[in-house]
Amino acid sequence: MAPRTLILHRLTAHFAGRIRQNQRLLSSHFYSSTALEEAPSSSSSSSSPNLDGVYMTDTCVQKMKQLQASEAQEKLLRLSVETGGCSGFQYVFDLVDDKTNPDDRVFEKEGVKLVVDNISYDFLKGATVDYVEELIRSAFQVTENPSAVQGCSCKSSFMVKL
Amino acid sequence: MASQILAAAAGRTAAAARRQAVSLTDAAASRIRQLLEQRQRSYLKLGVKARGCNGLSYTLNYADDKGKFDELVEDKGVKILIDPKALMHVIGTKMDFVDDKLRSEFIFINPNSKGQCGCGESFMTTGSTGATKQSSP
Repeated sequence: MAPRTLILHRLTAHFAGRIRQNQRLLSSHFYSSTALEEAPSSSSSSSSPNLDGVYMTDTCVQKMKQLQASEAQEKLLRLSVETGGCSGFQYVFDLVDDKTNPDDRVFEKEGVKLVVDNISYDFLKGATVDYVEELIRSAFQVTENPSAVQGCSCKSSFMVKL
Repeated sequence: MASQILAAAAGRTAAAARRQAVSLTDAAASRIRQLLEQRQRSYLKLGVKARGCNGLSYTLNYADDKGKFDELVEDKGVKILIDPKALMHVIGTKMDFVDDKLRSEFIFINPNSKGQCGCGESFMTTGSTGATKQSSP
């Protein structure tokens, strides 16, 4: 009996925290990583705070800065999720001009901007974008995505956790 | 006499077939040449491994020596080795190199490939079922 009530308490606290987090998310239009830093880690039961931004690694930022240097206009990295691939969904990267839709979410790090449209954002909460360099390819990849079951090992397609 | 000529012809055909096991585009060849010069390695070795969402995926590594059973392919002045385990899966493949702002990668256009992953890395090959169809990427 005792362990069960303990688990119940922990779960309730966890969900209460998540609900509070979602309420905060819904109450604002525009997201940046600085805004997310204000949100305290909610649940005591989770070992790491599950902040729902989309993050870029230093390598990714560096690559974007390199690309930006050879461009006249400001360019943003757009990440979207489309259906396809062998596991249901796939990531699509694009280099776009600074024209975002009102419901896009923009994440910024060291002046480099990552844009995610509203629908794709649902599948990208807490994800990390990296620029991976290997012999066979050098490309932007989503290296970590809490919303996804690790479907495709080449990291371009994934299944969504239900 | 005739048998000697035939044997020679057969040898040449076999060699020609082997040379065409994998072909390279100009872009791929120049990229490989650049990499090998830069790293001072002798060959690039193409292999496959069982992983990915759709069966197999290509691997590329540097190699300095030709293994006993490796297949040496020369195209456009560039030499690549093919892992013997991979040979039957990659026969007829054309290796290309695409380089744009967001990515630069080797891509493989494989007529034996039955299905492809979004990134093109994973693929399946038909066994001995005859006609193969390349699915649209």
